[in-house]
Amino acid sequence: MSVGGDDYASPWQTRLGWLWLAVVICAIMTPVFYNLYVSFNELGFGAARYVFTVDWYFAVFEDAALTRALGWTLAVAVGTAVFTVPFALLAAKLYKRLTNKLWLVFLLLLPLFAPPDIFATTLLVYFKSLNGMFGAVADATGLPVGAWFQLGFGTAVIGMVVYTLPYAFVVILITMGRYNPEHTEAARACGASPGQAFWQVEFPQIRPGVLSATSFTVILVFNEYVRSNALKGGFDTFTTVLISQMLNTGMSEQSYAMGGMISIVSIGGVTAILLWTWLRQEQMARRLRAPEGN
Amino acid sequence: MNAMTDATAAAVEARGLKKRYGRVRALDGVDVEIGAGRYFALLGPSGGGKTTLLRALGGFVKPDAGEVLLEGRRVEHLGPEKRPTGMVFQSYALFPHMTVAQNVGYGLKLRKLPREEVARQAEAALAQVSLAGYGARRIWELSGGQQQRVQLARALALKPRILLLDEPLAALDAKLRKEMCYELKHLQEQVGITFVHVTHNQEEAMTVADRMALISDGKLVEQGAPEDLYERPASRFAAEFVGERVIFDGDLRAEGGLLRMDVPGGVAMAAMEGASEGKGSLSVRSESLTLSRDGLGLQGVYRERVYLGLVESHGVALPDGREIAVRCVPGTFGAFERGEAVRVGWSPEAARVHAA
Repeated sequence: MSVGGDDYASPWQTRLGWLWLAVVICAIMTPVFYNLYVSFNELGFGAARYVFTVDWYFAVFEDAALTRALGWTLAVAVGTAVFTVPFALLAAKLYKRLTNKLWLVFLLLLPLFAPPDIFATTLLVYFKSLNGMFGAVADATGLPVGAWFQLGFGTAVIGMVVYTLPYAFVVILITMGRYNPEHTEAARACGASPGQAFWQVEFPQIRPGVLSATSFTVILVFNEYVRSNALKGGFDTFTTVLISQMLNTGMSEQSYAMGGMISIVSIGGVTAILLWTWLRQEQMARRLRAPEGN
Repeated sequence: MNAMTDATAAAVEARGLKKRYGRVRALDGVDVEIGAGRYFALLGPSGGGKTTLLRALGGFVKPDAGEVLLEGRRVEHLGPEKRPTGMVFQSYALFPHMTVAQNVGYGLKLRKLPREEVARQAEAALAQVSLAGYGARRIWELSGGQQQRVQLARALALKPRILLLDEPLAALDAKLRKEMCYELKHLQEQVGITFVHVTHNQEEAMTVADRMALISDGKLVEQGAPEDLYERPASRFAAEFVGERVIFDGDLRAEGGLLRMDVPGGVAMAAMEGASEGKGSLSVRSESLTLSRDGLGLQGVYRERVYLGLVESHGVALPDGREIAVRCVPGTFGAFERGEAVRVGWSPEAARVHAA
């Protein structure tokens, strides 16, 4: 005869856990899903009837201002990824080599703790000061240095690189954590130079992390408003157009569609990364579990 | 006693090698010479410095001081890819994104050999380690022993003149380790190059090596043939680390052509063999000890018998409480009762004397 109840019989603890998770996800995602819901309604926001359409999405691409914004956003995203990902990779490699790693992590994650508006205005002031300094140098020496940090594509990319670097660093570091450094030594023992060992042996193994970091960087740039708005200069990005419409003329149907596009790309990208990571982990686990061969 | 030499032409020489990791002294002025064509084992406790020495020879660690000469050439400024060495790692270190053939042919491809030649030489190297036909397999389709063989093939395909093996069998189970020991030894005899094998397992070292060195606390303590280190250890450390010995520390005095030491339970004796009086240690292999109810020998109290299959171990407590083990073929000395008074003896020629 057993004493007391079966501690493992009650499923309520697990059920309540799942319920709590569902409530949290709904709270976070409801505005996103509502935006998507409106964006597919031919009759627009607030209509009594719902008629499904994808026309508003096509209408986004018929609007020259919106397509220009899309082009600029893509350009900034690519420009940012070109710098962020290699910097993050170098930082992660440095992290692996250091004995005292804490200070590097602290420095790299520091931008995450700066509020976006303060971060953006600080960079703005910094760029203006640099321009002033270069102007003074040009006046004093006659050297052909100018206002190299005029607001524009370059300053937007710099701002985004500083913003996205901590995220990309963490993503790459997680992948590199599984890399066995003896593989690099084995490659060197086979005659590979340090560069060959990296590109031919290490990089193929950490490539998923590098690609994830690249995707993440692009998504972050697409979703960023405060830094983009402060540092972009004379062009618009997706989010600046969106917010501007909201503040000035009210949300058009195209705006909902544009918001929907960003959501779909972001959620789709993150889901793809998670799925890819999960499938790779499963694959690795299966390989480890595989019976010893022959 | 750090200057150790090998009579044959040296393939590997280390002179005054020093390396520190922060406050830890990993190598403390190591001098060693390894003859060409030797199977040389570096044996020692964990953290003793043997892997650091091997990595310094391979170019994976830059020594703080000292010289490394490979085939008479100073190399401590050269990276691993510029040394005439191959390396075998404990973790196998096979590239998971490549097939077996691509792993084995990796170094050959770096040498820009034609593709057909890479494939031919890789297959030949695989055949050398009894894995012919395995080239198309992925790494995770192989067992641990097979992965280790692929690693060997990858190193041997490049025809290095010196092969460095860092605990190559540590990840294998006991049975496979024993089999691989013999395979490694036969492989070395077949290719005839110098093997330098790091291990903390003395049975493994004695199986593969024709010469071995003991490393502890960053120092090369003693080297010689496995038989010499086992039968006739010069240092107390070697006596303690290699095999199972009973060791007594105390004052040695000459008497009747023998050296005597007063120890708990009686007098320990050893043949002179060039040893002198004074403070020192006296050691006897546990399988050289005899056990009896009467006769000569140290007095002790019988504790227990442990059956180990090929041998049995008898535990005897000396008057100071210290327990020593007498090992023998089962049944050699008969049966004893727990608590029975016994005598532990040995022939003076079986004992070794070590300076303090």
